[in-house]
Amino acid sequence: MSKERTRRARFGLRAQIMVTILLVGAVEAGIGIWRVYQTHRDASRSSFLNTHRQRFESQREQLGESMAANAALAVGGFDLGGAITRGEGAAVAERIVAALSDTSPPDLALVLDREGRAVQAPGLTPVPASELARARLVRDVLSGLVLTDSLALLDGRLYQVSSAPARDSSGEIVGALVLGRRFDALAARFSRDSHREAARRVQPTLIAGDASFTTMTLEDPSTLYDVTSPDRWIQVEDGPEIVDAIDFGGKVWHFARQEDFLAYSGAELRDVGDLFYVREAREERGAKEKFHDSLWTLGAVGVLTLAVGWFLAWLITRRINRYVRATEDLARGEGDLTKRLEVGRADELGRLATNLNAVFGHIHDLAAKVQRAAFQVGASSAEIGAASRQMLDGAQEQARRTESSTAAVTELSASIQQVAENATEATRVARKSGASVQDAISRMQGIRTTVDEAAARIHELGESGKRIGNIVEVIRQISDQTTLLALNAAIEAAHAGEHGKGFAVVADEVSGLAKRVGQSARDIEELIATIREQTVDAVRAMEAGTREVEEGTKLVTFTLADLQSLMQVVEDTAQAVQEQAVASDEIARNMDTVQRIASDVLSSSEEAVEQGDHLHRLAHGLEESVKGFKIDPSRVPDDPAPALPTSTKALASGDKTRR
Amino acid sequence: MSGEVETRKLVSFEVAARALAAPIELVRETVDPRPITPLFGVPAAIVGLVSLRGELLAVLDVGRLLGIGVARRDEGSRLVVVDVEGRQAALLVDRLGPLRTIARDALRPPPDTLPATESALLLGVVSLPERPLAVLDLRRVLDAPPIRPFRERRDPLEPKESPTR
Repeated sequence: MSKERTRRARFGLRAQIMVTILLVGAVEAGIGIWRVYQTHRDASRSSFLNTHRQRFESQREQLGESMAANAALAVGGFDLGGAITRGEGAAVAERIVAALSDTSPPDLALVLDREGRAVQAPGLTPVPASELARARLVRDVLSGLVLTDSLALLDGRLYQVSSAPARDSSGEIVGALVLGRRFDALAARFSRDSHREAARRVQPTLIAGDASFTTMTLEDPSTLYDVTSPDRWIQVEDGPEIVDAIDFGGKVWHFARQEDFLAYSGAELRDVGDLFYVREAREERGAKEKFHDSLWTLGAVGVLTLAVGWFLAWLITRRINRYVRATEDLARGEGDLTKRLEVGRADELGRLATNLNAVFGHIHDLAAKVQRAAFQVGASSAEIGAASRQMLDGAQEQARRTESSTAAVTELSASIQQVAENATEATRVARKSGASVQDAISRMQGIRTTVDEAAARIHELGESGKRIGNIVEVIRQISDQTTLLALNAAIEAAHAGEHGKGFAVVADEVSGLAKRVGQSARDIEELIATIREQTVDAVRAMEAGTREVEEGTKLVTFTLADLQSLMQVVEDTAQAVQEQAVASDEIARNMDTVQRIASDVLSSSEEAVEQGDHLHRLAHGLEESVKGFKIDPSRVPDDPAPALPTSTKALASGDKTRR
Repeated sequence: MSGEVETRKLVSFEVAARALAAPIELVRETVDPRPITPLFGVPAAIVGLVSLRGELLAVLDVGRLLGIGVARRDEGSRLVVVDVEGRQAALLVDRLGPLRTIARDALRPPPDTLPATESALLLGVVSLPERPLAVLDLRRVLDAPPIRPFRERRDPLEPKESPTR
């Protein structure tokens, strides 16, 4: 900003106007000087003549080509060959010349027949037959050669000729049309028609024995040959270099020379002489003075231009400067916005002043609005800042809680993992217990089998005792019977009196034996009874044991079933816990995600706080920047910028919602 | 029959836990019990009739006759066949005891404390180391009041029976 102002001060409007006028003058002066220099250069340089000569040669060539084309078109268009064959050459030749005369009448027009004779007709150039009879030109033309810009001496004049052969229907050459222009006239016209004065002063001159010509006005042209010979040339200064020149008639002539100037002349094509382009060398001194004069003029014009430029610039910038000063305070940002410019005349500057006044009015309104808005924005941004800080606090709290939750969930997950491992261990232990119980059951089954076997043996023992008892019973009965018999015997012996005494002794003995047998049998019976009782007791005990074993087996089986269901429960629990562990892992992962989100929220809140502060700073800066303007309180617009309070309200309500 | 001076032999038995005995001279034999055919209209002391080798014998319950109880009828029971001057009967006893030989003067009269019905049917009592042995007076037993009328009525049958002996 300050840099631009400095530059503007260095190149003020006045200076710019003056510089512009000076530049225009300088360009004009430059162009003038260039033109003067050009004139001087053309006047002094002999090389100009060489350029002139080359340009003439080029133009001559073009002319020759167009003439040859004309001839060829005429021969073809009028069927000159057919006409000559039929003997109507003269009539057709007349028509051709008439047709050509409408556009560019040639200085020379010849129609040749098969023998090289010229057809005689009005409009055709009369050339003596003797001259044509041995002319190489006629030979070349009739042999089919098409000439474009060849030179030919005919009847003492130098022509530039073009030709076209005429053929009959079989294609054989039966004649030719030859058109020509006088060379001296062409050369003179080229110089005369040039657009440059320096070129118009050139005078082409052919120095030749039999065809000399010149455009110079000479009293005696024959003297020309003498002065153009190289031993008569003089050396003159031409600018920085020394060139050859001709001293003739008291004047110095620059020149350009073309040697070996070939032309058809009679029976041959030969060098007919040297062609010179000469021009009078003007006095050099005069040209230099003219150049200096023009420089002086330029200087005077420059001074005048400067003066006029300064005045114009002062006139224009006077009022502009007034406006500039009036707006400079505003530019510094502490202007009196209630001030207005003096309008003055109703020209462009007057309109500018009016517009500036309108702009001041707008700026005044704008500044007033901005001041109010800045105040409101400042207040709102403070509220936003406070809300953002609260939000940040909340987000931090949330992040902390989320972190602790995550830790708790992770711990929980680890605990569940531990529980799952314990459950697995419990399952293993329960399986082992089940196996042990199974083993116990099989062992009890073994015991039961053994007890059953023992019971069977005891039962057998009891049976044996019973059989023994039966036997003993029989013995006892026998003993009883024997006792009875012995008693009866004793009775009989008693009845027998003295005779029966000995028998009575026997009977007594028998009775005693029987008694002993009976006693023994009774003892045995008692023993057997005891055995049987014991056996029965044993059997009962066995049965009781078997029942116990059965009960035990049943109980153990129940226990096993219970254990198995317990195992199932534990396994289910283990699986459930495993699933729970997976779920808790999932929760832990989700908590990680939540934590990440919370951290994002945290950083967003920090960003929000920062932005709020930034906004507050901006509002403050805005307020500061418009505070310098002086504002007319009575002119503050009633409409208080509807967009801003709405947004403030929206922010405030949003703030409340967040809280 | 009464040739023995020094000793007497007694067939001992037991009825209703009482040790009884009979003089061996009046005992014909002892037999195993056999089916007893009950009789109706006779005193309870007459248990019934048994057939012994084709001979019908009345079975008497000594316990009831003595008034000391009722004789058992089980596997230990025996019939003691007595023959008192041709009059025969079978005594149902609980069990037989050993053949006992006692001194003749060992028989003492029954003590006065015994009931008259009982002592009237006893010859006497022998004191044995274990317990007193009451010796039955078989003549009185066979003529005991409960069975006397029965015996009077059966009198006409006697001549029939006697020749068989």
